[in-house]
Amino acid sequence: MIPLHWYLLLAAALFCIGLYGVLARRNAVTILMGIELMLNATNINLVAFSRFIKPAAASMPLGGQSFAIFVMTIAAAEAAIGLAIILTVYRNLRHIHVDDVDIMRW
Amino acid sequence: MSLPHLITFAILAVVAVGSALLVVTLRNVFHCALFLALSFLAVAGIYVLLNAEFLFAAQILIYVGAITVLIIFGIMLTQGRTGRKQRADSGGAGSVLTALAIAVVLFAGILAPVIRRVWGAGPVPGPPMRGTTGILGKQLLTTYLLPFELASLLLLVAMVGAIVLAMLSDRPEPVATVAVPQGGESPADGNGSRGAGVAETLAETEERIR
Repeated sequence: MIPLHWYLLLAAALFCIGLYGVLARRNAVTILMGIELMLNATNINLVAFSRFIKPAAASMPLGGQSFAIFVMTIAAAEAAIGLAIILTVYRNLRHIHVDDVDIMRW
Repeated sequence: MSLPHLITFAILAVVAVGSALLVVTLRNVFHCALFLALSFLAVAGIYVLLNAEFLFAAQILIYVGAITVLIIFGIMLTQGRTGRKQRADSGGAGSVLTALAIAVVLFAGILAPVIRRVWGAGPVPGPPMRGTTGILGKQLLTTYLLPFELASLLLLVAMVGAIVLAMLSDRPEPVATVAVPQGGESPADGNGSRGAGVAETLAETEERIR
């Protein structure tokens, strides 16, 4: 078996890459991709813990995997709403460069 | 630690991290989306290593099948068919360096406790559970029934919200219909008129759909 650390380090690496993408990119779609990478990394953590650590309550033998399913649900909803917002911004401004989306700034 | 496990894990991890790095560095947005799908696929393989068959299938269906396709649709609708119209440009050198510093510091902060502890002395997993899909389904409909129903409600709201957002922006003046309450009205009246404005907009949208 692979030790738990390795999964956690893989997840940490993916999370940090996603965080870099969110912070460094200026194109709204690529920022969304970074967020998806981060959510994916947390899913790896949840599933790994669910595999390696015996839950305290007997009624939830796979709590981590259930949480991962909920994270996937949220990720899907977030992607749909995010892309709808990006589409709206594009129709109004003809670009999705997040630094220049400042029409709501007072 | 068996060798086939180790080799599989190494390949999947290298593919996942490598394609994730390409996602955040490549210039062409379309290529970024394709490498994002590759990264998701590698993570699905990691789920198989962790004995999570249902999540493996869900990962391929939802992330690779749905989210990546949604993102590609977003790219095609906003940046031309090939992703060349608007490059996935990063900010200036300052913002890139700041982002890099934050990401590296965070990774080092996670890495340090793992290195400091005895490497390899972690929890030992029990024997792999058989038929996790059935257990997971039962658990979702008993222990996690309320979150499960809330998730379905959230998906419905997100779907309606996404459709409304994408439709309304076609209107010449989308903001004008949702009337800002007049100065003299009480807050309750203001909310009422705003609600009416939204309802009116929705009705118009429905008409346009027909």
